[in-house]
Amino acid sequence: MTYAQRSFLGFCLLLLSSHANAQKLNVGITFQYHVLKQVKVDSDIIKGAYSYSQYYVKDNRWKFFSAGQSIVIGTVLQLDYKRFYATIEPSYNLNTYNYVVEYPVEPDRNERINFQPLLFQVDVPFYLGFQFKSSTFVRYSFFAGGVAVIPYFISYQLRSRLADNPQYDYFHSGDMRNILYDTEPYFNTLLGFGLHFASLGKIDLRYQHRIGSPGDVYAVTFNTVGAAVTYYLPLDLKRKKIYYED
Amino acid sequence: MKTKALIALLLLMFASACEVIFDSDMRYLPVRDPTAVVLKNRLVSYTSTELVYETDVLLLEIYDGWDNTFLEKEDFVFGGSFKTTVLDFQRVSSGNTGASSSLLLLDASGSYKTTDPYNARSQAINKFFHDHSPPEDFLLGAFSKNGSLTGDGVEFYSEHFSSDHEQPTRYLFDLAKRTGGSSSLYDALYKSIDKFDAGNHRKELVSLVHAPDNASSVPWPDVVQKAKANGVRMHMIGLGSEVSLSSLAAIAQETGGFFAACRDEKEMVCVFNQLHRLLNSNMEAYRIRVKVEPPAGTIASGLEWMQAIYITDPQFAYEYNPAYVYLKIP
Repeated sequence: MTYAQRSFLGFCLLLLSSHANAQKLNVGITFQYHVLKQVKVDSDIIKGAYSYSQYYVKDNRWKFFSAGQSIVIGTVLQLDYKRFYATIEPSYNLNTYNYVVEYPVEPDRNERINFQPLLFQVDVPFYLGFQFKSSTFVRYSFFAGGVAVIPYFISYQLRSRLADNPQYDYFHSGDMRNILYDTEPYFNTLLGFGLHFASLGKIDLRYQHRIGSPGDVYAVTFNTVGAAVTYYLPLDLKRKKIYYED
Repeated sequence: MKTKALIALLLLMFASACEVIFDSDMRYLPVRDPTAVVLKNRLVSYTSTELVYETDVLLLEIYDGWDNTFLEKEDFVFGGSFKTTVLDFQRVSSGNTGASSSLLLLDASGSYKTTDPYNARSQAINKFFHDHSPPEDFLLGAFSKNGSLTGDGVEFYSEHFSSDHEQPTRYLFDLAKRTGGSSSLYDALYKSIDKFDAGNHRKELVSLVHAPDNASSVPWPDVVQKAKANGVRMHMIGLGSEVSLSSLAAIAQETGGFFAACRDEKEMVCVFNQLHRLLNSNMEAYRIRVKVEPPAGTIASGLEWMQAIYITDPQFAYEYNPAYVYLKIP
């Protein structure tokens, strides 16, 4: 069992055991949008996974929108204890990457190839937070934890500026398998800053970093920054029920 | 109750995630078309008014390991304005046994902008290298003069043959960035023969050519002579319309190699897709015995005879690249 898996299991056990002592159990829904991404392949060439191609690595920068986006919709379970809170957010994630490589064609020209995998995945972020100024209506907090990611459907394509996309005749859209993605579950580390609005909800900014790389040929770094909006349902599942008898 | 409903909802989410993701180890090549390859020609007899020859034509399908063996003699049409009669038409198995040492020479002259605009050749050649397994071995070289290559018209990736297909990959793809200059095919062929030595297996030299040779100092008959003396078979893959068909066909025919005149990169990729099998395994080809009757006085000693065969697969309405028959009248 990896360190990340042990951490996830430990967190779940912690959540279960702390349930009795918690002051409040919040249930809600969350929407996240991740638009600032970096995909960095630690190599100057990539050999295609499904073809006999070799690509030049040219662009490992952080990118706003153009490196891909993630749309996350999920549920939130949050246990509050004094200023601390523990959260787990089982979510669906529609995760895309755009990764541009170049292929040698002529002395004065490389063909730019935009690989665009699309992943449907289940994300389970789990994190611990600490709130500041807990007595005011607007509070802020820092949180840290991890994200268990389970990809369950992958689609991949080449995106070309030309409508008929002749690149499909020469390159395989799945060439980034085990480089940009694979079928195995994995973990991200998670770090964030949130603004809480009493018991109504919160917005937060979160940074994720993938632990390890897809496949074992290339070391690939994935960093993502996104925003989340969480709305807590008007329920207090820890509230004691009092029954009156006439 | 609400907590239980929530847990049930979470379980439902995870259950829906249990979809099997398709996985495969298959590797793909760029799009390719079926391609005709002339394996060998044989002069049977001749007089001053007629010529009888036999040719073995192989029709490669786009999938590795498949040949088209379903055509009839009516599907083969012979070029030329003279009378041509098919005397015999049969399917034959042709092949090679034992390990081979293959030297691949890549034309790095001029520009591939029209003949191979997406550099499919590098992928196709890479596939050919991947098909090798010990004790087979190979060596990669490239030729051009006054271009970007080092050496005098021909450059080799390594000094020695190897079975490691990973090693030359970077060099192979970088060659696309170093095209230019003039073709020096015959010089390159002549020098490449020296790369073979007694330690090699069956000696096979394959050239991918896309431009006419206008920079060599060695004439092609000298190349043929040296190849024969050293037991080297020279196989020629012509790409595009600018190659000298007669000299490529002649070199292949005289040294026992095959000749493929590919009209575009799709046919070139098809040949490389099956090149390892062409050199090392069995193929199902057509053996056609033909009598041609050109005008009287045409056939004379020393004549170099070229005839195109146009092949159509009626089932798919597909026209193969022409198969060129080359013969030299003794």
